[in-house]
Amino acid sequence: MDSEMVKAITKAKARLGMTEAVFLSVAGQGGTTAMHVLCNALRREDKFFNVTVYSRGTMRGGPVYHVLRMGSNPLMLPKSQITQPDYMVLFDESKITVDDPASEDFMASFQSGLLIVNSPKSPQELYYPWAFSGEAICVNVNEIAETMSRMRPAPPGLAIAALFAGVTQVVSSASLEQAVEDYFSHHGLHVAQAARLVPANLNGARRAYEAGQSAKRVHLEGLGVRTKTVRHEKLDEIGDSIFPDSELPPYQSGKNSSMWRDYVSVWSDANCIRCDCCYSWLYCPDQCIDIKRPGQSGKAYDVVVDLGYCKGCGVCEEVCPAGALSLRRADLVAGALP
Amino acid sequence: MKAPTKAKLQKALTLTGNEAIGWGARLARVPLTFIFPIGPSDEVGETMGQFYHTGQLKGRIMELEGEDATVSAVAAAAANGIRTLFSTNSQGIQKGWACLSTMGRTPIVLPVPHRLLSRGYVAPDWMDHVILRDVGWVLINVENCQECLDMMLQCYKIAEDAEVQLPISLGYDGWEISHSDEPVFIPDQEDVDRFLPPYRGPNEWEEVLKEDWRKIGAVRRGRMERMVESTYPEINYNAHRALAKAKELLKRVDEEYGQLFGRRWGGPIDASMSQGAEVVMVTMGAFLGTARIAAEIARDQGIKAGVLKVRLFNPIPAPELAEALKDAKVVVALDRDESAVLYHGLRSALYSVKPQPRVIGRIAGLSGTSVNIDDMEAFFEEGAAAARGKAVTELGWLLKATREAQGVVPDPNY
Repeated sequence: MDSEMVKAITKAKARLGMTEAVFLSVAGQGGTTAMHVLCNALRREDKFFNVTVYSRGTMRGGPVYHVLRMGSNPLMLPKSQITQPDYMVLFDESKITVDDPASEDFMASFQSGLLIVNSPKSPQELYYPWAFSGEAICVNVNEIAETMSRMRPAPPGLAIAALFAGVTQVVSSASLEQAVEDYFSHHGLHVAQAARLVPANLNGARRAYEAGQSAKRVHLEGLGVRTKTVRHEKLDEIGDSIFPDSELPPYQSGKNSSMWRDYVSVWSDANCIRCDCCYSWLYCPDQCIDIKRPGQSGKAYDVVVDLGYCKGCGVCEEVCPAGALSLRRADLVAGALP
Repeated sequence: MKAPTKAKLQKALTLTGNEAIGWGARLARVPLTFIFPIGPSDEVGETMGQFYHTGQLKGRIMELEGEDATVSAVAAAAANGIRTLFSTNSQGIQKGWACLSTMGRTPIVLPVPHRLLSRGYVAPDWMDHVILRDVGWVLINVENCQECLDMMLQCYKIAEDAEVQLPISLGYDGWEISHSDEPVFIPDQEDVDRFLPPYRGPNEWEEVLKEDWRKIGAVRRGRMERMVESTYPEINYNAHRALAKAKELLKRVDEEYGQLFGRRWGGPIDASMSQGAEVVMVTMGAFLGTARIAAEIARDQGIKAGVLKVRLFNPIPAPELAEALKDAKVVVALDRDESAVLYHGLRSALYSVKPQPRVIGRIAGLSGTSVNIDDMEAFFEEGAAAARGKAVTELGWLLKATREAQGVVPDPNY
């Protein structure tokens, strides 16, 4: 895009009162959550918006792009993938240097504006190889995200949404907090879960919002030339840290998946008719049901659910003809949550 | 341009396109939803499942073994007076093709979040609507989530009208609309009940239609001997007459909906941004927002640019297009299908208009490739060049395969 065109687009956007922000993340980092929360907050303030979702890879751990458009007239909001964003939000610093054609398209179209990066570095230390002349903000929200979700590493989505709102002031703090509450009430959490998660996330959102408000804007000149190539290894690393493995089910990759679980399967000895239907290799997608024969455990017959890998999908409950396996809230079963 | 009215009494929710379709069906009190999973359609069924499961809506989900079986069941339910919902796209339509293409006069509504046909990728283009075009479906295309909800209600009303009785497909670009979060105003259930009466099925249909149904039924059941050669053209002629009625009804229903709910989308076409324009871009769906901004930019640069929104894809509203475009110098048809349906439709619609506007066509955004503001602006500039009498590509493809070779190349067959 030539600079004449960039100017023309910027002028038209200012006249139409339209703002655009691009969010670059890895699938599983909470990009969609960030969009849900921001959109709900915008709706509370009677603004019009749309979100274009765009992913090049359909696998977990693949790159995901969200383009959020805000304005006063819904008919004047584009849905094309790339235009001329005002804000670029990177869920991780490694999104800058990944040699990915779609990232390139977004970065190349972003020649001025405000760059928001989740990074412990300062903006001057960033390696930004695209032609860019504008402002940059670096805030490390990983720590906030970890307190919010009690996971490590934590998906930074919700914290990034709050950071973006704090930096840009597109929504007020009150609307944002309301939207965070909405987000959790929409998911129908159990009382015990809600009591744990909602205050933690509200607190985290408030902290990230304030961090955004007080963040220092620094002028950044992009290099315009790439002096080094960093390929997908870093991306894979993020993907791996979020999901056990992008290709393999948890039981094969050998990584614990217990944090996914809302429900857990519980076996009842009294109802069981010893039919062996539930035995792992037939139905359980994570092969975590084992049947102990006499001598293998204290009982004559025992169905053991491996809580390290059960994700609470409920297939065993469907399969069991006698109703001996049933799903229970994970937070109400002792030892079912990590 | 007028933004859709925010009626005071309507509450807003943040919904995706698919969820808005589900909400439309909920307000229409659809008691039976069929699910056969295929992205980006699945969310429609999921939304309905939630409504049924939580008791917000009375009804049930039915899952059958494939799209062909599902479509047969949808037709059977509709013929027996049950309002249904089934959403599928691309390969789902191809798999259910034998049933979808012989739907005849069955009043069903099929929301189609566009996705390209096959080839292992899931991005949107309009080819799944193009293949439905030639088998007598009413095809409507919408541009945002609010329009998805509003048109669900209107589509049921049109499809079930005694004089129409046709299958309607409601198309919206997959992912770009189906998965875009937007504010959607939810009409009041009481008003919707007043607008959309319960569906009673074939008992109340007029006599002629019963006769058509008997004949179609005879064909369906394989009793070919009862089907004398002469009745087949007659059945199809009646269906085409119904297509014309569907177009007229779309105008009337739009007006009625506007009075009740404060939102009018314009019937078969929306020409509100093309009045007095010399270079008019004609397009549909998710392209429209980008096209309108590009038109604003082109106006800044001195081009009398306009955008015309086509909402009725089949039957193509030829007289309406001819009337709306009679003062234009150049019409740029922007297609997201390799058949260039809008381009050819406009060429025949404007053939007898004097002085004849020049029609140039652009095929862009196939398989979801991005068509950006600068691309659209370039189309307007080409249109302006054509208006000055310069030679431009008649029908061109926008290619973006590599960074080096980006741009419009002429279609080899024109």
